[in-house]
Amino acid sequence: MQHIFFFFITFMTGWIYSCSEEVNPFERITDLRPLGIVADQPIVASATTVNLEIVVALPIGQNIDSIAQYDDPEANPSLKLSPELSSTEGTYEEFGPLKIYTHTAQVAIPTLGATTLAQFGGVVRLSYGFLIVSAGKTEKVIGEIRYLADSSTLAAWSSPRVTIEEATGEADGNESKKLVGTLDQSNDERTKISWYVSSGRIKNRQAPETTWTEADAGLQTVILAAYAVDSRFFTYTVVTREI
Amino acid sequence: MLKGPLKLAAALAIFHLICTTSTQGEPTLSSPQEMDTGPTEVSIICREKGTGKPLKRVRITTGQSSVFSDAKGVLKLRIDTNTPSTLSLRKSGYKPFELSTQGLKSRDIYLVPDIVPNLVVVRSKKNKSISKSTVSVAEAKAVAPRGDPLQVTTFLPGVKASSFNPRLVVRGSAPEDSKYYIDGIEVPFMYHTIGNISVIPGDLIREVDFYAGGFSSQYGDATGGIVEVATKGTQIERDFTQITVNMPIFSGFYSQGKLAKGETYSISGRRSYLEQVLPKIIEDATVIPSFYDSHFSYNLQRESGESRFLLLSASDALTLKFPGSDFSDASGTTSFNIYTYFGTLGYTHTQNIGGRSTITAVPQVRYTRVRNIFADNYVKIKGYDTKLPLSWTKRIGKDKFTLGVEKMLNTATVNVLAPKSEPDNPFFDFEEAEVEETSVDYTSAGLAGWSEYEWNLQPFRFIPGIRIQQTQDVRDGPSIDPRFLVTYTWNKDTTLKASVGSYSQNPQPQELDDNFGNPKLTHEKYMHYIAAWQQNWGNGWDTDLQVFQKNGEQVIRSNALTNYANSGSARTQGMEILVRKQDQGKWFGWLSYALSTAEDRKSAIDPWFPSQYDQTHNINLVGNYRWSKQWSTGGRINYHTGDRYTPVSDRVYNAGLNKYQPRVRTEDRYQDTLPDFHQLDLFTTYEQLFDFSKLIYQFGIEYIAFNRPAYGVQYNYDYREKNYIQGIPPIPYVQITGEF
Repeated sequence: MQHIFFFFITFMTGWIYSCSEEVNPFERITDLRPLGIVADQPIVASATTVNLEIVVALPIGQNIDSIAQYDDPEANPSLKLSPELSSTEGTYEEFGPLKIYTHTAQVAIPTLGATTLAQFGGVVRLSYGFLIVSAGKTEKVIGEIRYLADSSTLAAWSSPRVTIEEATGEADGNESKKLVGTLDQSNDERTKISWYVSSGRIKNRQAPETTWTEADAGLQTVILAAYAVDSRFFTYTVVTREI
Repeated sequence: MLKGPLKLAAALAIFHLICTTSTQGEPTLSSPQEMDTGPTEVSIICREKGTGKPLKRVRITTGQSSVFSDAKGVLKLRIDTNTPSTLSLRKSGYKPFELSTQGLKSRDIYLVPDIVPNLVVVRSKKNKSISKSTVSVAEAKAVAPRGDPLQVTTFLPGVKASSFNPRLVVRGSAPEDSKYYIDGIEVPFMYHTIGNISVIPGDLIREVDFYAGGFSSQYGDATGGIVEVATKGTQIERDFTQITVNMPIFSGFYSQGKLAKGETYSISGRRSYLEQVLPKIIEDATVIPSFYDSHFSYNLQRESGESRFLLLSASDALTLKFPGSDFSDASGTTSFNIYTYFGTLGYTHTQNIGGRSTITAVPQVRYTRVRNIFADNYVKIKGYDTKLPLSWTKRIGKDKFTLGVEKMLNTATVNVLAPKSEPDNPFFDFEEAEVEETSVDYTSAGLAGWSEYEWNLQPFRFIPGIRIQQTQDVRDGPSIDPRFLVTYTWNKDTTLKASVGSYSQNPQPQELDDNFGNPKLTHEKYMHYIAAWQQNWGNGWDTDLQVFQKNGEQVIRSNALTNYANSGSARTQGMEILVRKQDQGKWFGWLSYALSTAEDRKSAIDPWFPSQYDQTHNINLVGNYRWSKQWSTGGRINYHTGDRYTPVSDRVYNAGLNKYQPRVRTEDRYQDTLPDFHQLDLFTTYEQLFDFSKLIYQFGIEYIAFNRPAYGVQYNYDYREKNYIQGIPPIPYVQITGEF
């Protein structure tokens, strides 16, 4: 009997353990979230002015408190830029429970000499940054512009485009919803895709075709964004879906 | 993949059916008793139940006289089998056996083993090294999960073992600073990645020596600790074969025997299947380990010496999956695949050459293959390590002089496709780094010479030694390491020891690479200072108290310009205590405690920071209780301060890569610790004895904890929330070993 008791204790004790808690998934936007920076010329080959548009998502009841230039002291790129915001106020556009905030800025690109270009192997990384504050949360957003020594390759780079096709099938909080995104790009470069939603989970958040689960009932927001890793082109699209 | 284990289970079941045809638990007669008339000569063979091993010196008392069995267990009696009387057979360590003389005929009898103390030695007073721990296999088996005696090294003071790192952290040293040997043959690791399961079967092992520091001049290119395993060799006492089925971890077999007088062999093989079971138990399993190992040994004993031939291979694979931003798949999951294999062929020969002198040679060659894959990147290494240690030992009165030389030749081919590392840039990002493809062939040769003199001048013993080693790729000339140990035997119960020694270690091969490393690196140099007090308190209690200091110079650290440089320093200090209760009856055990601090710095002008391997407290409580000869319960409780890590202090969102990049402060280096680690391993063993065989059942659980142990920190996508990378949950297991 003594031994049987011991076995029982041994085995029962073994199942007492706790599991780790799940953290908020990447794709679910519940607070201030920078999505990217649209640059009309992310790759340049001479002195010019580049127009930037900072794109931020946030819950419908939340506003941007401030936005300013940010100089990342730890940034690794070759040279740093100082963009200027176009105005003090940006633009809000509502999409269901989320809204998209955009703010434009301009950054002057200086002429880089041959020595500088040679020093960095013909491609100079020019960095800039913005500091965005909303409801007590601060986001430091950094971006880059690539300065090429050879201007003849500029024409080869263009921004990709993304669209979200109509989702098929009905969905509610307990059912999954199929999402199909399309990426149209002419550049031969790696482009990262990313889905965002106002609620629920995305099974494969970096795949064009994926599944959306556990979404809340009502009007929901779906965002599809694309990030071209070499050229730094950024594009996105936003839709709403009734769940 | 379960076919193999299922076959073994089926074989075990058949074996069990065969075995259960004989009576269990009580002494038995091998044939029915018959009546006879008149005085008769009766021959009885006394054997041990469970193994069938003949027992010598079994006493049988008839009236006023006693007779003893001979070396083959044979007892010859001339008795009247018609007159009813009782014979009593007795032997120390076995239950008494009563035998009726009526109708008695020649036959075998089987004595059931009783509880006897294991003769164990931990930190023997005869040890000539200051921090040497010698653990008997019987004891180690009784306290280690699955009866794996090599695990005992992880229960000793100053040792930290990770469940998923097959190498030990000894007194704050990095895992690569320690070395592992089997009969003098070096192996790259002694444990598999899962549960510290050793790469060789426990029944092959005769003794495990563990040196936490201050080790002999015999050992070079190590600044941490040494684990030296001695196999049974020609001391294999009997033939048997074991089949082990462990659910859910592995299955295996082991066989040993005598081929002729002075000739023995052993062979084994094991394969895990946890990698099949784990994903079925734990959804989204993040760590999936697997392993196999095998060995063959042949041993030959002659008057002039002993030869041992060992062929050993072991393989480990580990798949890691976790949410990540770098090179993640469509679901946002990043995965690593790590595979390591080594095969070793070694020959250990000891020759008596007369004049109280012996020569020992251990030629050995090892093939190693490593394959680490991370997304589209990889590091693949294939190489051969050849060594020829040769030593001459001469005894001069009570003293001993040893002179050794060692020739090393290492060749390796390394293929790397990986982002070029910037080790000094804390904000280095793999996705932004330039990818390099490199293929390098390494050849490195070395020559070492060492000498040691053991001078016994009672009550003192002095052991000065020196080791000189020259390695082809290390450009600062030979390393010269003098070492000195003195012991003072106060009385038969008290011994004091002190040791000081220099220990050098070559740079790791990757640190010498032209592209990823720095070919101008030199040796790392460490000094060990140790003082010890060993006390026997009587009634089986003894203690061992040690204080130590370990200082490192020319320690290799990352460097922005040269990848690596010998600019660093390291220091570790602490105390360790081992309180031990020897096995004098039904139980034994020990409590080990280590208190230490380990720090390092990047250069002489930089401040000291905690080392990655710093661990303030480490406690092990280990024990075994035998309810009866068949039943025993063992286990250990381990508590230690959580591992150190560098916290993320800030983050930026990189809009070009769509990911957050962490920012850490230099002053935060290894400033935070994981939650304290506590673990309970518990098991009960039952031996079911048959005449010539036995079944050993072990039921247990490893990694029992109220919180699953944390092995690292995992941040969420924006580094604002953190989560601990947790080990596997408690694993209840059933292990059945059939021995016949």
